Amino acid sequence: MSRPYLDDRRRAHHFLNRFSLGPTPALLEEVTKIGPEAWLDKQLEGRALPSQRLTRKLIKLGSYALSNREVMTEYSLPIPDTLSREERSRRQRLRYVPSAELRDSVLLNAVYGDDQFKEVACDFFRNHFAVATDVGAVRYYATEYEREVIRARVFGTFGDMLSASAKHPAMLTYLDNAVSRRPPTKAELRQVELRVRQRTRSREQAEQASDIAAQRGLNENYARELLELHTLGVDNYYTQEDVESVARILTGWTIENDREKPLGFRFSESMHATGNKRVLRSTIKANSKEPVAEGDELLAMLAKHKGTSEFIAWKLCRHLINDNPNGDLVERIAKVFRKSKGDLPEVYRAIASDEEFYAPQNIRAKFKRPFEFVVSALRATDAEIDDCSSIHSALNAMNEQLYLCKDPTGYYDQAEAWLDPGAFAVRWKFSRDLLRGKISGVKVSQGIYKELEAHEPPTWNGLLLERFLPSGAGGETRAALGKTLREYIDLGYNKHVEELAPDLISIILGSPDFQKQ
Amino acid sequence: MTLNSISRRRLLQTTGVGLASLPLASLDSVSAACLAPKGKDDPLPAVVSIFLRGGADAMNIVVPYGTKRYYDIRPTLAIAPPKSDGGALKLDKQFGLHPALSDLMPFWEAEQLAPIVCVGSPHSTRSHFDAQDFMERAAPGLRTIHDGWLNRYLALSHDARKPRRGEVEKANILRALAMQGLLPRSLRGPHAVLAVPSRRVLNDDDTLAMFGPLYGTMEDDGMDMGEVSRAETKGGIVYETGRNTMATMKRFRELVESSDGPDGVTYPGGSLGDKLKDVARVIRANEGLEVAALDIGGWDTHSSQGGSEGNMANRLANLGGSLAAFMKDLGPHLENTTVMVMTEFGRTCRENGNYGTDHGHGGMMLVMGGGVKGGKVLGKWKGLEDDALYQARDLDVTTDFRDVFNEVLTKHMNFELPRDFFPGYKPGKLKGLMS
Repeated sequence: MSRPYLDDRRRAHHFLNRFSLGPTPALLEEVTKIGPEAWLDKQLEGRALPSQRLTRKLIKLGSYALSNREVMTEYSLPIPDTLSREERSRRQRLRYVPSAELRDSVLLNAVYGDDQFKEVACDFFRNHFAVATDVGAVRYYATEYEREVIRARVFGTFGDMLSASAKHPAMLTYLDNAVSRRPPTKAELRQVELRVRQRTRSREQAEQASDIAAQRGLNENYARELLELHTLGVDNYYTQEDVESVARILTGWTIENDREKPLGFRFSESMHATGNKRVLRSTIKANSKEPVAEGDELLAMLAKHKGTSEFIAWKLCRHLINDNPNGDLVERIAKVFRKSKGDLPEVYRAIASDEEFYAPQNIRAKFKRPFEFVVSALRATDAEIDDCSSIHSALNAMNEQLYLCKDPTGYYDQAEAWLDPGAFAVRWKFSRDLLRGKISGVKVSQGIYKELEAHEPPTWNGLLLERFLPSGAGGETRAALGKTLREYIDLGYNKHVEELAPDLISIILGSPDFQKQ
Repeated sequence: MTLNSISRRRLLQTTGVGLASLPLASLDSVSAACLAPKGKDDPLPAVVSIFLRGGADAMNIVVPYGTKRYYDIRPTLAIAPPKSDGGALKLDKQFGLHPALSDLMPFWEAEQLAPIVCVGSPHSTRSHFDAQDFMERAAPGLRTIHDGWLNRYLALSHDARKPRRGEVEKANILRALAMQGLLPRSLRGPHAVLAVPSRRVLNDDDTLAMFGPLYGTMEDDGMDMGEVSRAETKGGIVYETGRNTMATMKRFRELVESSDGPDGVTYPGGSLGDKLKDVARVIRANEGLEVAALDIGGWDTHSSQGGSEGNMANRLANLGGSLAAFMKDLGPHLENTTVMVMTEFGRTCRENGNYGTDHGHGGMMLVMGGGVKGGKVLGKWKGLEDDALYQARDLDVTTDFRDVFNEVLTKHMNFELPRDFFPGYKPGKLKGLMS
């Protein structure tokens, strides 16, 4: 073991760059002291209660703890024409509240959560099992989805989370499995034709209706993404025929429509395609007693598939180590995945303790996604958030709005997707606006200014760099800070810390060094 | 000198984005290539690529009113024949344009608009992101290709492009623009391209002043996108992207501010018009813009699509109005500009049970500009009987989308395509799109 190039503090800093959503001075202190492994063990045990600061903020979000049914009852009121205009528009606005509060809760947990590694894992799986609140009723279901599928399960097994996502109304809606059904039989098509013919007395229209009905049926949307995005990885171990089989196995997996029951998973036998299904070179036998079990068998098969272990290991390594993790590393982690039967904490531990993790080429090798950039900046400045909306607007300007990824791929994890000339300028503006108090509802802590005041201005850059970029900064960053500091001193702003320090900190947050982790 | 030996090395030195995961697979397969030199005083040709995301319904854009079955299988969505109420705008005996696109008809009459029917990908996917990726990378079915076709053009033509007389290097800085916060996939790749941020960011002088010293300024060194002399610092690619951002944003602002448009051009409201207005200004400045691209979403009309009026008609009206204003705004530069409107696939020929259409196969393209031999509908039309359709439900693809890209790059951009520029592609029958 030789890691002479990293002292304990830098080691802790690198670790926290990946295993938290942004080091703070206190957290860096703690991990330097007890070591990354011990800290991670503590994190994986999970804590009982969130901090008071966080709780005070979350409690204002009325929909945070509600079930799907409760969200529907409270926020999706009917809007008949008989209501006054004001009431109609009030009810219209109400429909957007749960998804807006969901975005707030994700952000607040990310910035203030003490279980920082849990936030990292949630961020990862929120994108892995992505749903978007602008698709149908997902806006009402995503609150429960985030809480019970993602947050509750990131420290469990992969198979458990896979199954929970497959059965949740948010996913069933988002990828259309709720409406996927066996194709109609010839007899059923004749019935449709007959009915329309009786009604319209037009043979042509009746034939059309039957034509249209014939196209209704299997929806491959979820089946394809289940294999491509959630388990095996694109074109890995499966074929188009497998996609169709998977879709057939999962027909009938839909959403409860009985208002007396919880708004969750329901199996509809009449929608289910019967018969044996050949999938991934084996056969899932028709289970006439309990046809829903065919799907469970499929998901269990996928969760322990070699391809899944490789794909999830690769994605986690890409998230936590570098954009192009090497094959040996991925295989080591995939082995742990298989051996532990998809136990996620085991996998996280294996990545954190792998020799690759601290390899020189992996230090600050990751470019922060907009979400990671914004959260780490808010954490580093110990910002007080009273209103999240301006932060969401900033994320929107950076093209990473929470729970609104356009594709079921989730937001991309690699630098390639974000490092466009021009996109960078939005980060500069955010850095400046944050420190200038121009992001409404957000105030950075004054504590840092007090600390600086005790020192002579020429030493400020050093102090700030030590605090915000303890792993060091490039020559350009240091030169720009020096130039700015000198200019201010020349202008006679000597010691006016509130005039000067915000600009220096803005430059640090907008520097190339702070974009990396 | 072969392209391999110069370009690859050059690309690796480039300031460009994505070096960490530089997708050079496609370049490796390129052997020797001749790049057509450009006349030094020619105005530069430009291509403007507009992507309708979501799979726009081709049959309700270029309407096959001459095919009777169109009206049978689209009982509520069909556009009436020309001359009837809300009817299509007649192009020929078979096709008409959606009535909301009336602003484009003067260009049709001036033979500057060529609609292409049944154009699309040989790959069968009906997945939006696969189909978009394949089209924007011009590599159907090849997941190993990660650079966009327009970026590939920029990267490969860079070495051949000689500065014109009196042209300083900095003019090279704005060869390509994406009029949105992140690049569309067609512009991703090794050649650095500016993703133009919103006005609020672009015009924030204080922020630019604050970060000017850190990320250098153009006045400091007049750098060229392809030749960064400055050594990479610890910031490496991130730092260089920041420098590009600073330099190209300033350049973009200069060009937009410095050019006046022809009088009397009004764009319709909405962001598309605003963006095209800026593109027109940069093109008119004649300082080397070759490629501009932007995306328009909202074409995934599974329900309530509407016919001659409604959801899709409103989008088309804005699209047609904005494009018409843009082409007028270009003035004489329309001669050197080609506009391509494309989408990842068309939609089902039959309407579905929700007054909409589902993901299909064959689509359409609209190609416009001074160099387009327009005034005729291109592409083979096989009718709408089931045996003429793809899998008895969608328009079949009779023109490979790469045929169109190929024409535009070779004829309009005067770019001699290196072998395997479009991997695995064999040129098809589409001829006579560009003069």
